Amino acid sequence: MINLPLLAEACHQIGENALAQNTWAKAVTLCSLNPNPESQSIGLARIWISYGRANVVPEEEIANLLAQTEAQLPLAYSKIR
Amino acid sequence: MNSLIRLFSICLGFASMASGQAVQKVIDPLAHNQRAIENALRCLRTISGDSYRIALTENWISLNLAEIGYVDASLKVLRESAPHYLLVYGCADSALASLPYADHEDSCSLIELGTELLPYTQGRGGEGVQLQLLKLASVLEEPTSIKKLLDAKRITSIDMTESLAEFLQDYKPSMLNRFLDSIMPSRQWEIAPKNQNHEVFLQWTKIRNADLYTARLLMKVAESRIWHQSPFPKYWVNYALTGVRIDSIGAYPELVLLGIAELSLQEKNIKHTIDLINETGKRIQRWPPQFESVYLVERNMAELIAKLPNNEALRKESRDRLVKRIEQLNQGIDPYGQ
Repeated sequence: MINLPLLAEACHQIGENALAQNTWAKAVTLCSLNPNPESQSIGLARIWISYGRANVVPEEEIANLLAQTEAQLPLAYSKIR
Repeated sequence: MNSLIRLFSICLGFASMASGQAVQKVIDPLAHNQRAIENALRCLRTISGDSYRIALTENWISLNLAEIGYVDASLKVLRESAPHYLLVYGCADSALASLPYADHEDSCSLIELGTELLPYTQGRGGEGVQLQLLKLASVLEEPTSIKKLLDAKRITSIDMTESLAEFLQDYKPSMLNRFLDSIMPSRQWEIAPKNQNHEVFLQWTKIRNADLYTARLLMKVAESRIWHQSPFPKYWVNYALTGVRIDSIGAYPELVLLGIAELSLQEKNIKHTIDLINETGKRIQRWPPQFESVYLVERNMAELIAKLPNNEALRKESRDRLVKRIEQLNQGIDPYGQ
């Protein structure tokens, strides 16, 4: 979740776009499954900044998963407080 | 939407402040997905919990923003964060990353913020980052920051005057030192102590890391000179090359190598750039997946490869390595990266 976005960016840079999208997708999936909301927030920030750097728009399904993960954060935090 | 416009205006404002055509190329607003950057900044503010992890992430976001030209936004991230000793490192790293193309005032603001936060490093070995800030302030010729950082010996209990003088000898060496360096290039780089206790080894590591930071800084200053179409002394490159080929620990030497490669590319010395990238690739080949710096080096290396013409061989090698790294990560070192 932390390192995969860097590898995805690297793949994108060398023109391996399919591999890059798969790697980002894997990172996003791991982030959404993470039981710790703090780790999810960190993962989301790092994944988004890597998309920003690479100038890539996530695929629709992945963008939805990112949005869902972010949307459930308040509830997830409320459960651990 | 407002913040999107703001980010865009930061970008354009920054580009207009900078001088030289080459500067504007780096700050191309179309080269980055601004919506994604905006999302990253929003998600950053949702983190709640361990202050150490929060500060690490803030440093990471700030560094990335600085690297892609959003120096103002990078400073804003650090300024709006809850004070933490790690943020001082963030200020130093972001200032270093943005040095080639940042506005003088923005770089100085990062150093000033780092200096303001320096008291939080008390009792945590803050002298290393204090020296980094001091070196940055020296190359930016900021007497006020230099004075404040030298006065900070009350915080770290270490007088930096001698360390600063040593750095200035690397930055602007005297004729005698230049002559001595030319006949004995490695005279300033002590080899790792053998059969010594841990304390001696730690002391050597600190000195080595400080010198490698100098090498990174000199490469950034040289890059800045190229952007602004002014010459830089070649002995900076010799200093950095000598440093990376002598014993050290951590990923600093590889980052310095990539810094030299970037510089070489900007000088249009393609062959030397390829040699340096190959050397970096060989060095990181056996790094284990648990060594997290490997991913940063891979990413930075791929960015350089992408800028090279006729780079098929390098791309293929890089691809093979990346596929292997992704497989290793998928096999799960820590699937949630917690």
